[in-house]
Amino acid sequence: MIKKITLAFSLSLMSLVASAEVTLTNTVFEVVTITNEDGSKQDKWQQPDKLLPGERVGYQIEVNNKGTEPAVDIVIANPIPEHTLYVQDSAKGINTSIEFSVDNGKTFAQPAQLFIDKEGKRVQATSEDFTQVRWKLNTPLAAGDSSTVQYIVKIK
Amino acid sequence: MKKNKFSSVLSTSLIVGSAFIGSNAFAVGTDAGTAISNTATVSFTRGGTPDSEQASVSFNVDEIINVNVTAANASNNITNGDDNVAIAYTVTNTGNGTELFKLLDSINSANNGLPLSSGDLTVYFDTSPTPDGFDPNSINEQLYTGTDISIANDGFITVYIVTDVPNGAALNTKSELLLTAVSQTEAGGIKAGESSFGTVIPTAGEGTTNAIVAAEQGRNNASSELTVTTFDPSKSLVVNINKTILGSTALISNAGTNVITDQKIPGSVVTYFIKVAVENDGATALSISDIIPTDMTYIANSMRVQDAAGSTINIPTYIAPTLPAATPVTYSNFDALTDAADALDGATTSSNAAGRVQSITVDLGDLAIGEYAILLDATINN
Repeated sequence: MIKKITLAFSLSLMSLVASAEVTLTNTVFEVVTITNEDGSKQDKWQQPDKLLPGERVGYQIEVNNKGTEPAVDIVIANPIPEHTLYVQDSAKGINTSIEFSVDNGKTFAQPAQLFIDKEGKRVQATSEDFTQVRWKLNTPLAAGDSSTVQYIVKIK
Repeated sequence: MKKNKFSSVLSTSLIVGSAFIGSNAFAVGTDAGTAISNTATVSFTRGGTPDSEQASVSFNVDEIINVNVTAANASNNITNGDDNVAIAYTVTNTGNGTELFKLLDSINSANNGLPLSSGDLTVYFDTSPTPDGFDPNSINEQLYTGTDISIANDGFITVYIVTDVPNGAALNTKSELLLTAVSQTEAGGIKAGESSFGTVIPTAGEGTTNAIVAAEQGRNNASSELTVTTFDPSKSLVVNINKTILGSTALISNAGTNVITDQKIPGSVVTYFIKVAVENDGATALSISDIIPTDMTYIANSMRVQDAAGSTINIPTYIAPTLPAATPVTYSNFDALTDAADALDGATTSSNAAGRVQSITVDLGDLAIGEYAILLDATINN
């Protein structure tokens, strides 16, 4: 427990919780748009250089089963950091079900099923209203396997 | 329960309201140096036992260096001779950290018809959130003496460039004044004020974050014109010329007896005193001509001038020339001029075909506000 608290306050750009057998890695990137030679644009995840209001920050979260037996019912949950907004459609993860919360993790649902109160009216939530993102792995994680999920936020 | 829901709705709408105002006023964003931390949790079951792990990562928001300068008015209507005309500008720190700025005032030399010189300008600033216009006696306005001014992110100051309008500024003439605000951030030899857009200055931001220059050369400027829309003739250039007789001397001879008289009789040498007063504004290429009266003869090389800039001239005490030679007398503070058109001293004469000097001219050139004087002698013909 003490170890976890220490790590929660770590200011390093990458931290690793070394459990006996299942580990979780959380890494931050600066997401920039680059233009290819043919004029098309794509995102590039790079080492943080300019983390400014309005810029996009990507989180890559890797779960790694270093044990000898499979892990099941794997759920990765991540509150959207304070001072940031979730970027629509940015959450990704192979073989995962992705859901969001607009009530700080009390309930999760698909974006179409999320509503908030706005000026006394119940309205469809937008991606900027999301407070948490959650990935449920559809398959067990075999011993020695890892799975990576990711999403992007924009600094307010 | 009902009450809880009501307050929840209320607080939501308040947040929406304040965010609305914030984003409209300025686009700054999260403060530089703010830590953004992210903790991910994985829960899983292994060997029938539920377990979980966490991983955190944090970074600090870097600093944007950005500044916006606006002029309250694109053009300001003035009258020639106005004192303490103030042009208002607003300097806003549109970055996300507190920043030191230097202010530079300048005149667009290509648009300076009044004209003004840099020495005519004084800069005042007001850090009040509710500026009330320029008043030189207000405690809100501080004279800017070159000391860097700290402006918080989202904050602004009001700056006044103050000048007196030249008396001689002509109707519809304009002068354009620029105010520039320059970020003073620098680290490791990299100055924001000399850096192009996008330059990263490591560790120069709040809390040793990186600072990124988001305004070209770390600066911004705005210009505003002064336009003379009302002309007050009483304040413009006035040249007053006053010609008096300083004195005269005549020599009356009869049977070897000489009598000196100041009566103006044939043969009297009259000394004229011409005072030229330049008022309100400097004069350009000022030339004074005087016609020698018929029945009088100009005494050669008798023009004398007093033309020290900005002088006040009192009528000199008359000194009678020695007759019959009538050599022009030297007066203190006056310089003797020669009649020859040598262009060196500006004095010339104009003669008729018979060789009589009909008029004299003294070219005084460009004159500052002040008094000037010319002396000349002529004899009353017999």
